[in-house]
Amino acid sequence: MLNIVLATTPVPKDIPLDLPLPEWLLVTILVISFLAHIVFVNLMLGGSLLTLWAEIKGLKDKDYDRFAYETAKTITVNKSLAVVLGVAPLLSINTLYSVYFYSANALTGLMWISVIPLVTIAFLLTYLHKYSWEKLAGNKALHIAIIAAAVLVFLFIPLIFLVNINLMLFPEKWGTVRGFLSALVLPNVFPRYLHFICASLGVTGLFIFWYTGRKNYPFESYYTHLTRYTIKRKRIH
Amino acid sequence: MDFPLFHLDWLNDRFLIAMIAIIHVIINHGLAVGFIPLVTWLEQKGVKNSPSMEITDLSWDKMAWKMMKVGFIITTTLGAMTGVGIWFSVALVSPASIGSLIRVFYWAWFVEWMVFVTEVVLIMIYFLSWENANRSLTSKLRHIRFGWFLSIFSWITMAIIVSILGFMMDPGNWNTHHSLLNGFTNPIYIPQLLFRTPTAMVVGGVFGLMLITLFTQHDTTLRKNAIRSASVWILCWAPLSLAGAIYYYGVMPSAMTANMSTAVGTIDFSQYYDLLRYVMGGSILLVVLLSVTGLIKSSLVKFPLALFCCLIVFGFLGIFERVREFIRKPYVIGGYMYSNLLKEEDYPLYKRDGILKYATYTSTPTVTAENKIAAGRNVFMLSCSRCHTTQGVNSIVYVFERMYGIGKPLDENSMAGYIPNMHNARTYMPPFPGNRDELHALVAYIKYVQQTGEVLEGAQTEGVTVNSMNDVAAARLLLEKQQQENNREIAVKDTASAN
Repeated sequence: MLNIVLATTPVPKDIPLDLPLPEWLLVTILVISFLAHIVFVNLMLGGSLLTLWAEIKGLKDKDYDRFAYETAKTITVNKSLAVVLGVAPLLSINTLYSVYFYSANALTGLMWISVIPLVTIAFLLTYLHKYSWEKLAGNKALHIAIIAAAVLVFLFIPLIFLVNINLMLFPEKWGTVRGFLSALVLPNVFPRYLHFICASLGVTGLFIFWYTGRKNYPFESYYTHLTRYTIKRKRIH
Repeated sequence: MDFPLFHLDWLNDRFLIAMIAIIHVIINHGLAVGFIPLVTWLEQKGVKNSPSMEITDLSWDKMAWKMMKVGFIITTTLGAMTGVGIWFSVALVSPASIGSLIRVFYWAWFVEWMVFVTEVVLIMIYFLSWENANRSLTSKLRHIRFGWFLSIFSWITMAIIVSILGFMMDPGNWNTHHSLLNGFTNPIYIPQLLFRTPTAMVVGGVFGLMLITLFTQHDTTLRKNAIRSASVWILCWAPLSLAGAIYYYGVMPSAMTANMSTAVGTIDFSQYYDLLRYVMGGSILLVVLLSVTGLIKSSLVKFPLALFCCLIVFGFLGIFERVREFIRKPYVIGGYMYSNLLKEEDYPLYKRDGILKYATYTSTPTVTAENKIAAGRNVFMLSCSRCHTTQGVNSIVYVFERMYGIGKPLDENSMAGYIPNMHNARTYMPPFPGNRDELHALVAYIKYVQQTGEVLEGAQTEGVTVNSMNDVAAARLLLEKQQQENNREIAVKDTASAN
């Protein structure tokens, strides 16, 4: 058994150039910048899920429709920050773990590069959803379908990232992996995915708690019967 | 050599990068660097020409806002994602080169990123606070000032990236002193910046003109004045763009300029070279004609015409980037790494022992009579697949058939005679890296591909086979052997000293 593992474990040579910074500093930058990035990714995903839920509930209760709209307006801002803040950790992981990261990228290549068109489409859908709120007020089914489509994409993207990042950690699997699906079934992917989804909901709850609780937020002019307290409480549960 | 190789046989790997990068450049130059100052200028004009008792000319302001909305949505979706897409695609297609560049340019890209974050935050504030700013003159003026800040930041982002591009195109510098400062001081930095700045303004102007025809009613003074403003904008920048283009071309190191005609295209080089000049001259002439028409008789400027001109200048930008990118061949990093991702300094080793022996991933560490085709496939993957496909764009069969006759059966001996010398005849090609056995395996494979139409699959679908000479077991054996030799040497020394 050990021999099989050894025989499929490559010994690639690293890029023969020095790191631009001491390793510990690069690791620090990577971790801190990744945290900043992932918080906004959480808000983007959690915010879209929340908007979808509230808009469906809003079919019966206008206040929830208003709440959905208020949340939808935050998604497009959070998503822009999520993207730009993602570049620093991307740069750092490229630099620090070149061999691991690039190998995993190539082995899941088609799905990996699909992140670009998929996220672009999801972003355009969130704008379409936000800016068509009044125009499509008479066609709620279509309007809800738009955000639902964006949510589906947003739910799938983390899986691609996790498959890639997870595969990085198993060089002994590089010789046996055949494409995205076979890397998907490696251990750790789904637990990490579920953790991420739950974290997104949790972080979004905290965000909404702060956002709607701000003193200068014109809460009373938006809602007829929902109170700050009900929204805050709903987010906690 | 050390990475599993992603390969798109139908599209061509290089084309994947080019596609994403060109969309990004068009959006960056046309919709950020050149477009935002235009919109800010228009917003300012609205305030200047406001009727008394109003902060701004409201219908004019609404038009500028609508234009900015289009710019805002496109830059923060397709623009941002293609920026990330360049990283994704380059890391997939060209891992060794981007991995090397990032170890040198980490700080440049980090600084660029910080400017980029600022730019995105400013663009959001600028667009999202537009309607609120119309409440008082003070806030409107502050909003306009914001627009100018944003314009400057967009330009700085471009100025830093141009430094990185400039460095990569100046051969030789990498080996002597590779620092960021070098990117700014290299001889084509200033010319490139002087060309890109006015060109971005022209492209932004044409894009803006197109939006004006979309967002204003025909035969209104609003439309007439807006078209005139955009025309003035384009006419101011077009001569500078032309001058920049000429200057840029002139100071390109002579080696690169000589290489230019071969780099432009893949079919008929001289034809492409002429085409570039026609496209450059033609598109500038076109936008000048467009804006002169806009000034004299704005009713002739309608959406289809404006859209056509817009697509032409986008195309021009695309062709320019294509030339710039291909001009540095046969290198990907001048004088250091060839476009097949193999380092120049490693070539003697590969030529002596073969490239397969040192590959981290190959199913055939050596060429034998039985594995000849498979070995040829591996040699192709390692030394040709970054630029050539088997059945798609720039396919290897097509390249040889063009030399020996389309549809004719390829001759292994002629190809084996040609490949070791191809870099002399075609200076944009890197030399063939492998040994004699690998050369014969490669030509057998090319002939096999011609006969069977076999498609080469990349690591993303086929996976990789770890080279049995380079896996952990082999490394362990090697270590043990070295250990034994060391021990023996020590023992020999001990006996020698004991005697």
